Amino acid sequence: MNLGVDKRQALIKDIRFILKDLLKVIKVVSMYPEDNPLPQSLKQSFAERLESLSEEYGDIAISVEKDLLKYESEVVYEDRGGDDRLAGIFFETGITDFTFKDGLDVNEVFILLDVIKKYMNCPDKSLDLAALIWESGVTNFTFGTIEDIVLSQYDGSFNLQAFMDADDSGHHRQVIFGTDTVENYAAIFDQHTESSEIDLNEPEAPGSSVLLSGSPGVGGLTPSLPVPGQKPPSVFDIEGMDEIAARTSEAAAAMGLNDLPVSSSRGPDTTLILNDEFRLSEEEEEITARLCTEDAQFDIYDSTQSLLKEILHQEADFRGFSEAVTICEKVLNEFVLAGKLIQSGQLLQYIIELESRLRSDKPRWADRLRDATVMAGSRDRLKALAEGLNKHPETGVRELARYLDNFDWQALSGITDLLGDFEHRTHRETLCDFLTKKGTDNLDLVSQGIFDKRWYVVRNSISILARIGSDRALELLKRTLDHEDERVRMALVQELKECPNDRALELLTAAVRDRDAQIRTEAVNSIIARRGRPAFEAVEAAISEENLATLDQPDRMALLKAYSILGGEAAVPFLSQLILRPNLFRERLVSDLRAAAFEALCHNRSEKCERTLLKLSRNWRPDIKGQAGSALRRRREIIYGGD
Amino acid sequence: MEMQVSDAIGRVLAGKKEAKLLNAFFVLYKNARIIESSNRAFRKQIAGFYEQLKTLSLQSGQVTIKVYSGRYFVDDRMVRFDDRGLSGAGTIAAEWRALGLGGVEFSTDISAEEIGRFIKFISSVKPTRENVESLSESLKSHGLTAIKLLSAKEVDTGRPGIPEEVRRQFRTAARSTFFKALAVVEDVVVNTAADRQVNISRTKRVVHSLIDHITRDESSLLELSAIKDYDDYTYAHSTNVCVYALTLGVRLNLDRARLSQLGFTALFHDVGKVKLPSDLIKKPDAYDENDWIQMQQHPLLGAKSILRNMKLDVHTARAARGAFEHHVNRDFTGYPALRREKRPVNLFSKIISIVDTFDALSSGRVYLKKAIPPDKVLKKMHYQMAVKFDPFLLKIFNDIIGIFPAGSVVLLTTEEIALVLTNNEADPARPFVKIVGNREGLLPNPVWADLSHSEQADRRIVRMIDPARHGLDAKDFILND
Repeated sequence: MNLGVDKRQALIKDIRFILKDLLKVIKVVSMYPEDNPLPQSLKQSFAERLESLSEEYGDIAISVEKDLLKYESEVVYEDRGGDDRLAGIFFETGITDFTFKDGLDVNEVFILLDVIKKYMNCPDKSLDLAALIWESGVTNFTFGTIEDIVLSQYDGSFNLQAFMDADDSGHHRQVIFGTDTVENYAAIFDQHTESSEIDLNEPEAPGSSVLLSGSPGVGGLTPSLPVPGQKPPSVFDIEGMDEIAARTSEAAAAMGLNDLPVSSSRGPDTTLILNDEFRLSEEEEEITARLCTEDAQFDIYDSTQSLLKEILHQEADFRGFSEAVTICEKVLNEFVLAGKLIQSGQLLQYIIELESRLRSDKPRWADRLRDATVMAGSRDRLKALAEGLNKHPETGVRELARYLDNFDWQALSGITDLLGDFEHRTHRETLCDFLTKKGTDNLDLVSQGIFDKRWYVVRNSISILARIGSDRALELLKRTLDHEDERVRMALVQELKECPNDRALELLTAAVRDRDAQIRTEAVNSIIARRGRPAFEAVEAAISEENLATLDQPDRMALLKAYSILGGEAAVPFLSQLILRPNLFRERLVSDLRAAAFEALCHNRSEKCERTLLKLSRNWRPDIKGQAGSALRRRREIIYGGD
Repeated sequence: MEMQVSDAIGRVLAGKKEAKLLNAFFVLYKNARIIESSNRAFRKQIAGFYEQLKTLSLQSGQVTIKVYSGRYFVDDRMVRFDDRGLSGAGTIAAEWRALGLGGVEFSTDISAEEIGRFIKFISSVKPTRENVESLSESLKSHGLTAIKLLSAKEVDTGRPGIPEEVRRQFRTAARSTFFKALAVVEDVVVNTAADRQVNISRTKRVVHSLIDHITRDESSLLELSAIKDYDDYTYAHSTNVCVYALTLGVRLNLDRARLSQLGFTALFHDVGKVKLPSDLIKKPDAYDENDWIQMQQHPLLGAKSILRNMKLDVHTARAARGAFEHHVNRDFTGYPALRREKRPVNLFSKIISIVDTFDALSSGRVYLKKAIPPDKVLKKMHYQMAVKFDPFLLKIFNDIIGIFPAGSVVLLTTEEIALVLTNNEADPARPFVKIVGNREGLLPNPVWADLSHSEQADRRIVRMIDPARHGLDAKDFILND
């Protein structure tokens, strides 16, 4: 492009600006959802600027280097690292140059930005930007790739003429063109006939549906050549329509038969091409269009799944079969990584069914399939499951549950270990359900995790054992009461909240004495959350005066509160007793217990509690009277809309 | 001023407005035959077409729609095959051809009502009874003076010639792309044989280049597919199949993503053969029964190879299916015999089945061990092998190959030898050729001629020549410009 110096400087400046703008727009567009107004307006203004730039200056060709973009050897952009890497985006995909062509309009810019966004947001960067841009059909943005350079050594400018002219052209001609003589050429024109019979009797392949041609009439290749000196008749008559109509009926008669009449024309047999029978009618065009529309429904997972099933049936020997099973395993992994659990489950289910079908006749083959099923539940494959589910949170829990149904106890320890890797709560819940169902009969496997050094693995095991809730499971859980990591102990008291076995209260009661205050509080909360008579009895057992005396005041208050909430009316007498105990010597413990009891009564919803507090508010002892009054007010706030 | 975008052979390309107008025209044409003029939806379509016409006529005055050489032109700008929505284009072109009609000119003062009447009229004419002159008279008598019919001859004479130098450059570029495709196939074969990863990105990009060429000018690649004696047939065969398949795909108006998948599938369709003994592939004699049994393993081997060595995505899934079922016939005969489920073969496999058979038979390097001329191959495919192929796709492929496929060597009535460069769909008997020799021998400078042009009325093709019989090498004619 030939511009004046000033205009060129202005162009360089504009290009720098537009590229910076492009980077900004790419970042924003990649971060925000499609319908957000911010990226929409940015895209619009950028597209308009780029469109007017290319209108003003025509084609703008940019070359790409590792971290530079250049316009006619002038650097117009440099990567600064981090997110500032526009050149890198193109370079890493192998694009060596790109051009904003004159005619680039706003719509095409939008498409381009969407393509780049898709590429940037692909989690494993597995997409090819060059292919995406090409597929988008943006005609006014062109680019070159590294393959154009790499493959240039295979450039096919096979210039025979130059080769021939180089030297000894006669010899070269001889070599290249064979018997290249005037006589030879003349012979082409002067031959009257060629041996025109083409033998279409191809050897019948076993199982082939190719029919043998028996007729010597088929394939009459060429007519007689014109006699030298005589102008040959034209092959194509101007009244060709009538002739073709006549030949149409010949062809129609011949359709479906092996014999075709010998062609008497002076040219190649054009029946096939000129005959309207061999052209698509409007209905046939529509049928073909429908074929294409149906093809657009192609689903790679369904197709590959059914193909693999067919391949398994094709194998004739064990080696091939084993290889096919290996391929199934590899593809299963890919399905899982893509979050396609329905298809992977179907394939896995098929493998399991095939195994049982082959078990009696081909035990070795059945074993191979069995190995594949077990491998699907191995730690590595389950890691892929975690990765796939984390990338595809939309995967439904039903799909996951059905997929897991294909696994047996062998997968238990792997899933237990990896439970924490699943980021989405719904997926974790589903996995826990599975582990609970299968783990009941395989406690030893599930409980292995509680001896693990990794706290989260221990936590996972606790979660499952608590859900299982059998006596044996609780026995195993007891071992974690003294775990050195408070996160584990905290997980224990939290998980025991929902444990179906009331014996969990024993562990919770023991946890009330944990060395960590938060865990103690959480243990009490878990007891409260369990409700019911067993919870009350457990707390009741824990609140003897001797026990209470050994606890800190916050723990006392928590325990008495739990007692009061769980006990209701039944708790009132004991709490009253604690309040009314004489404290002639102003013992701290007695005061504390009194305060804790009053606080506990604040959370008691029974009528008896209300009456008791009223009575206490008329007590002759001023401290009790005062505290009772406060407790009444506080209770009303808590119960009727305070807390 | 609107910038003109030309293709590599100098034809000015139409933009989106022209393509939209043309598609609206086709839709009206089709609907006019089945819908009453008073139908509201039809009137709306007419109004839409009228608006688009007005928009274009503001820029360029009167608007013309012409067809020649199988292509549509709006105001002398070519509407490309890959522009969407050209449904019914083929049928209309054929009808116009039969009428001797080359185009229609709409003047600036045309009304929507006149358009409606014209469409109804033109879509109802019977080619056997009418011609351009009688139609023009009828238009006048109906008061449709704002529309002028152009005869095919008129359109033919008026069109600009394609610069020879531009054609040459384009063919050179096509050669480069074709040989790049050969190199990629070689790379694929070598890596697949060693069970190594295949560079999928590179393969896709070469396919994209092929598609770009075909959508501009399919013949320059098709003629390279006519070269049948590359040193390594396997690579050339896969590349040829890819070129033919993509050409068919473009005719089917497949979108770019699917064209990319189709080309990729075609390149990999025979990848299973690398797992067979090389003696078998290169065997010079015809195959015996044991050879066939081994050869019939290649679809299964190919599918397994692709699924094992490549990351699963839509391209590789398509390629695996294509490799597996491209020898499965419509009636589920062929091979491999399906054991589990008679699942219909998908579109890509049907396409590859046709083009694979065509290239194999016309090369004569496999199965038969001798080449059959293309027209005989097509006849064989239609009559004797019809059970194998989808009949509609085969017809489309017929059209692509034509009577004289690109790359054929032919004899002319003027006692010249010529190489066919481009099929002419309007008149398959009169392609665009390069005259390479006469009775005295080769011409030092080949002469390019468009046999469909009125200036070439004296030159006609007599017959095809089998170059090998006369010690000629078609490759030399194809590659030497």
